[in-house]
Parts: sequence; C-alpha cells; structure tokens
Amino acid sequence: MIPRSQTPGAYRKAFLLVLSFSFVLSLAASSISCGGSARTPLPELPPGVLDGILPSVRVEIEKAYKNARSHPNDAAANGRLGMVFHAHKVFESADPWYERAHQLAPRVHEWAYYLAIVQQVLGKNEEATATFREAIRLKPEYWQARLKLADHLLSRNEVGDSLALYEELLKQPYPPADAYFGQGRILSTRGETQAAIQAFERACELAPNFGAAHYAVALAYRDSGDKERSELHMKRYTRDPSGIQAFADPLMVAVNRLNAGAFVHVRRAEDLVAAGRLKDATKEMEEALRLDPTAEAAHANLIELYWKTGDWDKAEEHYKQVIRINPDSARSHFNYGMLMLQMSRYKAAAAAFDLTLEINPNDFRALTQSGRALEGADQMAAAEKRYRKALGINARSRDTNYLLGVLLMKTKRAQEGLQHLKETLEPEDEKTPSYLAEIASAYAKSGNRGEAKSHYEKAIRMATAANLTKLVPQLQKELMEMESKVR
Amino acid sequence: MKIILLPFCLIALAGCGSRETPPAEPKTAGVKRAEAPRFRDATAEAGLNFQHFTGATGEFYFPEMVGPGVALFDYDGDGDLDVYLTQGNFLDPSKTMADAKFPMPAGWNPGNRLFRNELIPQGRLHFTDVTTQAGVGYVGYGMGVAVGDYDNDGRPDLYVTNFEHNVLYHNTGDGTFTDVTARAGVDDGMWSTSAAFVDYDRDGDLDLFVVHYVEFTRKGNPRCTGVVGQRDYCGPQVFQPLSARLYRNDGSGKFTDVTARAGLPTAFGAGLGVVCADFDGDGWPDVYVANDGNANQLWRNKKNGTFEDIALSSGVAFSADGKPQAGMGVSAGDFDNDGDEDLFVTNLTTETNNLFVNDGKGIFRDAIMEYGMAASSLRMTGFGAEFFDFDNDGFLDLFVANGAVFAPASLRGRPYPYDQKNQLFRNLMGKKFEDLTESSGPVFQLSEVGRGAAFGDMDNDGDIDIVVSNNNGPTRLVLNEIGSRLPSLSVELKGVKNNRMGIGARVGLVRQGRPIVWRRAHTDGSYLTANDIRVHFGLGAEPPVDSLAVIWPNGRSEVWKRLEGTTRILLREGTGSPFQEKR
Repeated sequence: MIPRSQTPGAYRKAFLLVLSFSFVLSLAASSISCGGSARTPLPELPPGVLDGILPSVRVEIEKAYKNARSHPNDAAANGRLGMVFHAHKVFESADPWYERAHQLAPRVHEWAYYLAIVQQVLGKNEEATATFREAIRLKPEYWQARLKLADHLLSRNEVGDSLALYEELLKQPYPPADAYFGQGRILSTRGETQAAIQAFERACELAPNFGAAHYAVALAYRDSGDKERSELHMKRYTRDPSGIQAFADPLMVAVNRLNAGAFVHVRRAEDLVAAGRLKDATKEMEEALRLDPTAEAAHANLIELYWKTGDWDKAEEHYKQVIRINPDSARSHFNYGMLMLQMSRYKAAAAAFDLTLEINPNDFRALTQSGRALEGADQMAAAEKRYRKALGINARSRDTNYLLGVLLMKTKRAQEGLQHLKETLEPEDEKTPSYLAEIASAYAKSGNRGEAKSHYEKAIRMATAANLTKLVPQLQKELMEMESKVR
Repeated sequence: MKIILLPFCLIALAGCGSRETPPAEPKTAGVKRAEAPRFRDATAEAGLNFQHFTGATGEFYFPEMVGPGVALFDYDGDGDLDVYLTQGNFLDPSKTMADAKFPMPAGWNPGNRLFRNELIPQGRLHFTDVTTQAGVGYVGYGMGVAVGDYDNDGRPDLYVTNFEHNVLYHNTGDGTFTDVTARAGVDDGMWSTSAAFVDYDRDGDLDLFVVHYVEFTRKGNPRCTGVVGQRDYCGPQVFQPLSARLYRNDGSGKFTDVTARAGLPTAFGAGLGVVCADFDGDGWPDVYVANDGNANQLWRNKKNGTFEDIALSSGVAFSADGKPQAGMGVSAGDFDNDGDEDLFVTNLTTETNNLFVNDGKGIFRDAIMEYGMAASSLRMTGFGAEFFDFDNDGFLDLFVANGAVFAPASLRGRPYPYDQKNQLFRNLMGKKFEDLTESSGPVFQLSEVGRGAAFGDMDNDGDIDIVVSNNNGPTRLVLNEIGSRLPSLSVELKGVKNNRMGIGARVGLVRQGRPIVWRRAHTDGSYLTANDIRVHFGLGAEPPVDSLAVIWPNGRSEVWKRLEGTTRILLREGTGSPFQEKR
C-alpha cells in the first residue's frame, strides 16, 4: 500500500518541512537542468483509486507512484506515472502528472502531447487546443499531433482551423488516410459532396480496411444519387465495420504497452475475432488470463477460439477452469456445447446446452443447437420440439428454420419442411444460393422437378453474381445429376 | 415560489375548442431577465418524494443499472399532469433489506408509484401518492412506461415494462386502474425497456411496440470487470441482444403478437429507446429504435403490416464515422423547423451523441459536430433526452439526462460512482445549439445518475418542465422558470376516427408569411418515458397565429382558424375545415 499522510503531529510537520525544503532544492536543480519548474504541487493519489483493482495494475501504479514521489523534479518519473494512469484510462489521475512533467521539461514534446490527449478526454477543450499547439511547436515533424488537433477542432466545430490542419497534413509526402477522411467530413458538412467523395475515396485507397471512410463515402454517394457506388462501399463497410484505420502513433503505442490489465487484452482480442484473426485473438485472451486468471470472459472466449482453431483439448481445459469460477456461465456452457457438437459428442453437447437453458430457458440459439445435438443422438422428436420452441421465441431464425426444415424433410413431411426452408431466403445475401439449393433438393426429393430445376437455376445465377466460385460448379453438378436421374 | 398565472381550466369538448386569454406578461419580456436561473429544483416543495431502489446487493446484476422510467399523464382528467414512476426491487428474492447496499428506510413499500397532481383544484403544484387507491403499484423490477388510450374510451392507459413480466393497466375513469395484461395478451417475459403506443396500421386504434434489451438471467450473471480489473457492471455485449415486439390492437381490448409477421425479428438490438414518427413523409408511422452497442434500427412502415430496417441506408444506424454506438435515449422532433422529423440519440461516454438531420425524405446525416454538441457529449453517458422548446422562442431545444454505467476512475471509491450532470442546450434558430448547462441554475449542478426524463407543463404556466427519474436516487422535478415569459400555445387533440389521444397526429402552426411549424402529438421518446401528450408551441416574438392544421394518423387533415390570443385549445377531429398543405 502507498502510505498517505500517516505521519502524526510534530513528526509530520518536520517531515513536511524537510520534504518541502528538498522539493524546493530539487525544483531549482531541475529548472537549471531541464529549463522548467513544476508549479503544481505533487499530487496525492485520489482516495479509492486503487480500490478493488487487479493486483498487476496496482503493482504498476504503486511502482510508478513511488518513483515519482521520490523523484519529484524528474520529468520522466512524473510523466511515467502519467503514462501508467493513462494506459489504464485513469485520465483524471494522469492529468496532473503529465502537467508536472510538462512543467518540469517544457521542451520535451512527449509530455505536451500526452497532456493534450488527456485534457481532450477530460473535456478541457481550450487547454487541449493550446497544449496540442505547443506539442506541434515543439516537434513539428510529429504529424500525429497535428492530426489529433485537427480532429479535436472538428469535434468543436472549429471547421476552418481544422481543415487548415488537415490540408497541411495532405502536403506531406505520405499523407495519412485520416487526414483525407477529416477533410472529407468537413467538405461533406459544407455540402461539397463531390469534393468530399474524392477525399473519402483517397482515404479508402490509402487504407482499404478503413471502415469509417467506406461508410462516409457510401453516404456521400447516396447523397449524390450514385446508388451503385453507395451500395458497393456500404458492403465493404459492413464486411469489416470495426476495420478502423489506426494511424501509426508510436507515442501512444508506448502508453498502451504499459497496460497491465486483462480488460484491454480481452477487448483487443474481441476486435481481432471480428477481423477473423483468431490466432492473434487467442494470444490476447491468453495474455488477459495471465494477468487475471479469473477473467471469465477470456475463458469463455477461449473455449470458442480453441474449438474453432482445432485445439479441442485446450478448449475443454478452459471450460473446466471457467466453471470453477462461475458454474453458471451460460456462454461457457454454450461454447462447450458447440465444441462437443464439433467433436460429434452429441450427448455431452446436449447436456451442455441443457445447462445453458437452465440458466436462460428462452435462449433460442441454445434451443436450436440443443436440437442439433438431439438430432445427432437420434432423438428426432425431442430435437423437433427444441426447434419449434426456438421458433416460438424467434420465428425468423434462419438457422432454426433451416434445421427444422431439413428434419421435416427427413421425416417425410415435405410440405411443412419446404415452408420452413423458404423462411431462410431472407435476408438475401451470399448464403442465399446455398439455401435455394437446399430448397431445390427438397423439391427434387418430393418429386417436383420443375420447381427443383428453377430453384437450382436461380441459385446458380445468384452464386455467379456473387462470385461464389466454389459453389457454382457444385450447384451445376447437383442440377445435372438431378436432370440425369429424370432421363 | 413560482406564481402560477394560468390555472388550467377544463377545456370544453364541443365545437372547435375553447380559448383562454393570453398571459398578462409582455411578449418579449424575459430576454434580459434571463440571468435568473432558468430552471429550479421543485421536488421537495411539491412533495414528489420518490427514491429509486436498485436492489443492489453487490452482485452487479445488469438490470440494476438500467431503470427507472417516468410518465407524465393526466390520469384523472382534471387538467393537470400526474406522475407515474417505476421502481426497482431485489432481483434475488432471497435477499432482504439487510443485504442491500443502499437500503431503504424501515416502512418502505416496494412497487411503482402514482402521484396525483393537486394543482387543480388547489392552485398549487403539490403531489399526493395515490398508488394504493389507483391500484397501479405493481411490484416487479420496473423499467419503463408508455401512455396511450388503447381502448379509445377517452382515458389514458398505462403500459409498464419490467425486467420480466409487463403490465397493461386500464384506466377505469374513477381514479382506479385494472390490470388487463392477461386479457389483452401483452404480457412479455423478456427484458423490456422502452415501449410506445403507435397506430402503425392506421386503423384508428393504438398498437404497441415494445423494445427488448438483452437475454440476462440472474442465474447466468457473469463476472465483469472494468479497465483496471475492478468488479463492475457488464455491458450489453456480454449478452445476446433481443429483437423488439409488436402487438396489433384488435380493437376489442385484445392485442395480437404480430412481431414475426411484421418482419421485426430480422434485426436484433439490445434496444433501449424507441420513437415513432413518419420519417420519410409518406404518411405512415415508422419506428426508430436506439440500440446499445449495435446498429440502431429505422423500421420503415411498408404500409402492408410489415416493416423493413432501413437504418443503414438512411444514415441513422451508426455515428458519422460508421461506429455502432451505445444508443440509449432517443427523441424525434423538427428542431430546424423545416417540416420533417429529425432525431437525437444519446450515447456512452467517449462517444458523441447523434443529431441526425432529416432531408425530408428520410435520408439523414449526423450533424452533431456542426451543431456544436459533439465535444460536450464526449464525457457524458446520456439517457433520457427530448427536443422541447424551453424558452418558447419557437425552436426546439434539448435536455439530456446523464449518468454513467461504468465507474469512472475519478469517482472510484465512492459508494455509487456513476453520477453525472444533466445538460441543457438552447437551439439558436435551428442553426446551432448552445450549451447552457452551467448557467441554468443550481439544479444543473446536481450530479446524479440520470435515466428517464419526461417533459410536460407540470404547473400549466405555459412552459415545459422536466421530471428526471434518477437511478439509485431521488426523482427530480425541474421547473422551468423562464419559458412562460414568452407566449405559447398548448394543443390537445381528440381523435374520433383516429385514436382518441391523437397520438401520431401532426399539428401545424400557421402564421402569415411564415412556413408552417410542425409538431407531433406523442408520448413516446426519451428513455423509458412517457411525455405530456399536449402539443406545445413556443410563439416567441413571431406574428400571431392564424390557424392550426392537423394531419391525423389516418392521413385526413383539417384546419382551425381565428385563433388570435389563444393559449390552450382542444381540437376535436371532424370539427375543422378541410386543409390542403401548400408545398
């Protein structure tokens, strides 16, 4: 624990006197060596700031705090504590330490930059503007400060100054995509749609996964009446909405590296999952657990990640661990059920889904997957019941309608089966040709070859249009096989 | 003490409406006197004593963070607004007050509360708890409330949403309500949040749109931690989001669940806020749902009993940079007076709120930055919010009730570290919003955990007041002190072929040489809230009113003329002259 003002009475006074004296001396020394002095008093840790926090985070904060307290005039020590707080998003506590670091070393651009970012987060808007400007003055080549200031000014509707900064950035040999994006936003608000489109398109070219730019240009094309291009960019956006171009910012990388909490790793891993980078996500989740072995979300995610990457033993191990932490972790039971399904261990899968349903009887996904498990265990009637219950909760569930449709076809109830299969045709997307093929196959089995043929043909047309190169020959083969059977 | 200049008289129901004389104050008075606080806390003096109880016992159950809601409605028909408030409870029935982190005093009665406004006949704003007599003290885990006259008997009914079973209270007209949930078929076992009455099929009766949040169960409560590993409430991403539900009113006191038929389960929300309005100007009500952490939905009414979600192509699914945000509260209103419904959505700390400006055809752009409200919303987690003309200048201003959902570092160590200040923004002629929070009186310096916020003229003095329902805190009655310095016109509708309260009707204020100013008769919007149904027009220093036009939900329109000097009026369907809007 960090001692806080525990020296009683006279001892305390004497201690403070000595401390003040040494503080003044060291300040003077610091002013001589660094060219600055701290006008702000040495901040105390706010009460409660360490309450209930993760031990790994506490250790980092305490270490940096002790160092800063014992080197009150060392800008690096003060700034380092600011960075540790910043890394853990304790912005209110980072602020005074950055402020001191900046005062102690007013020519060091890092402290101004970090201080400006924290001031911005804390809503100290005027101060943030001034400090960003100071950071730019100290190191004009660190263009990230100019970009941050431009964004900050845009958020305050100071459009003229913001645009000027974006345009300065665009004169660089390698302008960042974000500058084009910012420029586009301003042009768009001014009603200069064509110019905005050009800027957004340039941002997309420079950073093809820049989700925000694709979204913005889709809206701009929509406003200009170009529906086709609008839809194209909207599709690219929806493919990877979180694909936000994070411009390289080495100073912020240095801050983020100081994070000793599990939370950030779990969040980062979730973003990686969304981007389809499962192995990287797994590493992040494992790192989260190293820092906090009780992180339930990390265990639950790892069951799924290891199941999907084929490391089933590890998935099972995480399941065992998480249920020791929380026996009612619905998500973990569900993920374990999915793992068991993958391994064709249907009884174990059904048991896991039952546990999920004990926690939430209305979980239609668990009901659906439970139906799959029961089907796998040849309990068709029970499976059908589960599917129907799931549809009672969500009548439009594509997966459930598909599974029930197929089950009904298997059990010779073609008419009702087809009805459920037809429910899978909405929304129309890249999965639709496969569902159409399933319906075609169902028609073929029920003897309606005309409908079967027309559904196959439609499926082929749609698959071709969607450039589903593997699916098209497969569907053509199925169609030919059906037609040859007729002959 | 606020002087009530205009005791609200019972409005004659016959003919084209009754009138009152304008207030004695000069039209432009008040502009220079605006240094006085614009709003003040009148909770204690009015006896609106309600403390929200979350039932928290240290388990961090998600529903504890979400409520409560509030409704303003004249349940007894005496001409003033009464207040209904939803209440929390222990989610774990085995717990007692000894387990509570924030225990209620001995003798506390659980359940929702109804407070009768004694303004009429006493002439003084004062509230009496009439819950027991009225029979509306449902004991559950209260969330939101919707108000509408579902059976067209001329009396507003209540639909109360809960963490589990919802309740429909039928207003019997003798000061009591009957629980008709089972008979009406609108019970709903899922976690419901906001709800709205809307005549989506334009058949003359009110249907019911109920927003659902996520699949939380007490048993499956996961252990969530904040950024430094401290135990905190989970966010919605930990749970499966749920789709909304639509009940069609069959006209016989019964509703049919038409959710699947209407196409709603094609999108899942984590829904918190809902507002119904005709966003694309086709005469049919659409539905906008604010979702927490997922794309918001704009359900376009396809006029055949079905809806399609067009939020993405309309530009209201995400923020301007394409990010799904933590949509909480939502308000629809024509803040720029160009004749269409714009949208305001509140979001989480580090996200800006959204001001979606409508181009008249249902195509929107998020203009929060241009209107000067981006930076000021970044530090706040907004919940209840509404476009309302607090200063009667003819432009819709904005109020936002704020309160965190994750403990910020600055408040860590406090018993309940989620409080934030509410905000007030003045609309500068539809061009920009000015943040007036710091200058609007001590009530805006209170830091509380704001959730619901309902809007209405509580003291019938011609301006709009606010009731804020705080989480784990007292309800606040925030009285408007300056609005009535400028004249206003309050319009009440009475549908005949349309729903009796006129919900969904558009009322147009017609003045010589000016574009018509359109406002919507509604109770929905904000967050877990039902607002005063009366349509309020601030008249500012504009020319006198020539006439009022009404476009009823079924598309029929009519106009009432010769309204000079009127401050309140009741318009009964079928008593006006034919109206043809000039475009």
